[in-house]
Amino acid sequence: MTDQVHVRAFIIEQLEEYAKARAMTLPDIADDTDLLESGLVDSMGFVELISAIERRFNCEVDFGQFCSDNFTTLGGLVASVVSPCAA
Amino acid sequence: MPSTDRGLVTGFVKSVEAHDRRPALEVGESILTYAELAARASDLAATIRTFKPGTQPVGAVYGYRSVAAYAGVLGTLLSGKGYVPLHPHFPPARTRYMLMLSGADTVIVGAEAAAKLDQVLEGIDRQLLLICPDTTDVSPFRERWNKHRFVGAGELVRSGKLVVPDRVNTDACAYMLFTSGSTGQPKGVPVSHGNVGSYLEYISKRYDITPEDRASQAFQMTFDVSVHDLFTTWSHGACLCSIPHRQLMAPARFIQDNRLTLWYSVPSVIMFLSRMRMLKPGMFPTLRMSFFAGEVLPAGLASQWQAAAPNSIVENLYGPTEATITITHYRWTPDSMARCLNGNVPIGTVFSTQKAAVVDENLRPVPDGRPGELCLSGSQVARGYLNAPEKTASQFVHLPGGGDAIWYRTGDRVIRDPDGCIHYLGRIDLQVQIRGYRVELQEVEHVVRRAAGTELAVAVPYPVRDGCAEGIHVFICGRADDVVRKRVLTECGRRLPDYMIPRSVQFRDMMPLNSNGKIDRDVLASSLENV
Repeated sequence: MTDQVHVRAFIIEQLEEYAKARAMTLPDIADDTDLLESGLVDSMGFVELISAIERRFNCEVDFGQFCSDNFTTLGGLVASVVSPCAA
Repeated sequence: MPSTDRGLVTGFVKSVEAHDRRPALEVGESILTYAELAARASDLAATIRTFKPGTQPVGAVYGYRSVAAYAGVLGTLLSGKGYVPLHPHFPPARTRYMLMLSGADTVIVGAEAAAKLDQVLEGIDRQLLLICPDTTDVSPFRERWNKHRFVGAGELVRSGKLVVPDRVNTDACAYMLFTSGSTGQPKGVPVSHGNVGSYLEYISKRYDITPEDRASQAFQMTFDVSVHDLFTTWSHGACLCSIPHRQLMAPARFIQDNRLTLWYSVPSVIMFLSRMRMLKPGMFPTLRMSFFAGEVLPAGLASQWQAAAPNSIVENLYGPTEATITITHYRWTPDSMARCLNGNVPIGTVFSTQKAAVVDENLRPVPDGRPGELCLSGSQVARGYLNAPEKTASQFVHLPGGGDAIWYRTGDRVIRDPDGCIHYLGRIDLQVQIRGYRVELQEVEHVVRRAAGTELAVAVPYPVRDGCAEGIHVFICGRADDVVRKRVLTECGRRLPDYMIPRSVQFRDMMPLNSNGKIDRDVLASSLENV
């Protein structure tokens, strides 16, 4: 099982890269920050982020199994990668 | 035509009379019946009439997925004006430009847009009536902007009854939208009550929408397919369900929880759900009609949606803003795979009330099965662009031997089968679509050139599939410079909507040229493969 801390750190790292490419600095984000709504990534960026997570942790994230619909928040995304049906 | 007596709101007015206690709108936590929505809209209409009786033909609505935004559209129409939707997520400078160009003299402002209002008003000379139905205290605005007139929540004129417009001229503007312009500024497209009346009449006959229906509202109001969402729903006493911003890309739960029966979105939604492994067979049993428009619909996605919504018809629709919402349709069937070209669902046949022609560069018809430019004619085709006679003359033309009929040149390359079924091939010019929005690359280049202080900047869509791009990358001629890169991105962020903001800024000492001596955009695009 992939560790929450690692997944979270990896996502933040990716978001920083994404912000840097757009000449922005990543603001403070909390577990309930919605990555799409806050404009940190757009939908394509979100898909890229998922792909990067899957490559890095060698997994397939199945959001259809995920019981909550807050998967676009930082905390929700971490939870859905780490333990799809526990949330 | 009696059906357009009160123009675009005719159907809503009838539904208020016939279905006053049925739900008309669900947005956020609010559920409004037809009577309640009509009351909100009527107060806004009465306020417009009282403070500013009908001097300009259009009024703006500055809001996003709120009661004020939807009631604002209806209120503006009930007051007798056409509406101009303005998007709070767009840069204030762009919104200001649209507001000024449209000529609107009233603006209904939702709470969600109030924070950006000061920036929009900066430098506007024309006196505006600003109606803020969500804002109790408008005195801070009054102090800052004494030129304009502000009406707060407590000062709305209470109408007490349904306000209806006087008989509306079918040539009058029902709504005005903006498409990306090659001169670096968006172009206004006024769509008349006659244009949209024709559309609604055709749709009403083709699709059996009932008061029991629950329809999605996914499209942004600045995108003309939203007019379909609002007015086909309200013309039939059905309920419009506005999808919250955060659920727009992955609305699976929303469709299920709200038991939607009608779905309409861009195909990207299917792609996103599919990629997230959220699309499962049989998951949308309540849906009975699903429509897709705004970008190419790949056959695989249509098929996946059909499996997810087994009780639904699935249709691909197509149409430019200039020809009112959509003008061709194709119904997906189990045999459709064989009809697809390049793996894409056809855009289908032109509405039986309208006309389509496929022509060569001299506007002569090409034989079936040969590619050409799609031209459209009929009662859905708008008169032209606002205050842009040259652009209008180049896009709205007569065809040789075609008599007086005006044809709109779509700029889209298509092939037509002998049975009239049309396949979309891509854009003829440099226009591409990003997330369903039409984008003129020149508009991006214009902003980039100014920000970078250079004559040579090239915007390249990448990756592109069938005229639809994921994003834009820009190339600037010169030495790599982080300060310039940052300035370009900042300026694009200020002037362009997010889908037009470059995903990267690259520098080249020299631009690659093709055999015609033109900048070779393909070479630039292929250089992105290695990035």
